[in-house]
Amino acid sequence: MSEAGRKAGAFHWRGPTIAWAIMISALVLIVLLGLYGGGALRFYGALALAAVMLLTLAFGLVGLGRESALTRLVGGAAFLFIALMFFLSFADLLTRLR
Amino acid sequence: MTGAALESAKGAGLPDALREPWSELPRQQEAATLGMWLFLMSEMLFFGAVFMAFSFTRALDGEAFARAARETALWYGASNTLILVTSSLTITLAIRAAGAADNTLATRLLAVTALLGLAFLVVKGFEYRDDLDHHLYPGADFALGQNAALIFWSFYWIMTGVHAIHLAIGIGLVTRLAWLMGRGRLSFASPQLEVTSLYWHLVDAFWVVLFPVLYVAGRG
Repeated sequence: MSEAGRKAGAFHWRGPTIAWAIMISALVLIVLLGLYGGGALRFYGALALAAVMLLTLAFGLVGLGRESALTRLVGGAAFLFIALMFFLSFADLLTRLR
Repeated sequence: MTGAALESAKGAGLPDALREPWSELPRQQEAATLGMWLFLMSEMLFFGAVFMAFSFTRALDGEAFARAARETALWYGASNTLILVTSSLTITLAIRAAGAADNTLATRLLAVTALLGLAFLVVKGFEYRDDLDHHLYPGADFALGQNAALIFWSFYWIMTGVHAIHLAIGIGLVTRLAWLMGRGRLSFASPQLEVTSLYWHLVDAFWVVLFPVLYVAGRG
């Protein structure tokens, strides 16, 4: 590393590597569910593990927790709108199925 | 990017990352990141609408969707997930290396990220070839013959196709950054690094949802 690099600070690799290991572990579990899991366990288990991978990506690799409050608000608003879209669509579906 | 890294960038004689109308780099960095998040939000809403439409139609005929999902190639999907998750690690480490003012390591990690993205597209190409050989595409020759299966495979091509286009754009952006950094024409203090990494992570995040939804959840 250059003199400039030593002045700037150390290269931290452990945090992202641990996040990567968690994501790979979740991926292995998803594949095992795909091969051996059954019915509802496979469906909900795979989605729950995908949620774990997403959260690990957001906080372990993207570093969402270190972003400004305004940025977190924008990200939160996107999730809120998507949740609203799903809620309203499935509310409509349930009324049709009755 | 730390204040010390910004000073180091100046000291290393790299091009000035500061652009008009900003008077200081941290403020420019914050604005660029927020702008990228606004763009990512619009992308999340786009993909969210497609996932919602998929879930809605799946709820109408879950059994037919499960039969159609069994025809997807689990190992191709799993391999590509491994590749993309690893590429997210390498681009994160590239940003960290830039933060530590290690230009060479950052350039190499960016190049590895682009290569991993390319590897994803190659694997996807093999998978598409197999799908075409098995007539798993909408049209008169469709192999499974059910309307719901046809809808599943239409979603498969649309979702994975749009994702591949996003990834191809990401590969172009990361390759450009690696090229510029390698030639000493991009400061490691530049906000371009962080906003490009955010875009790359978004492409990874979409695949992390696509993989279990298309390849795993429906298998019977």
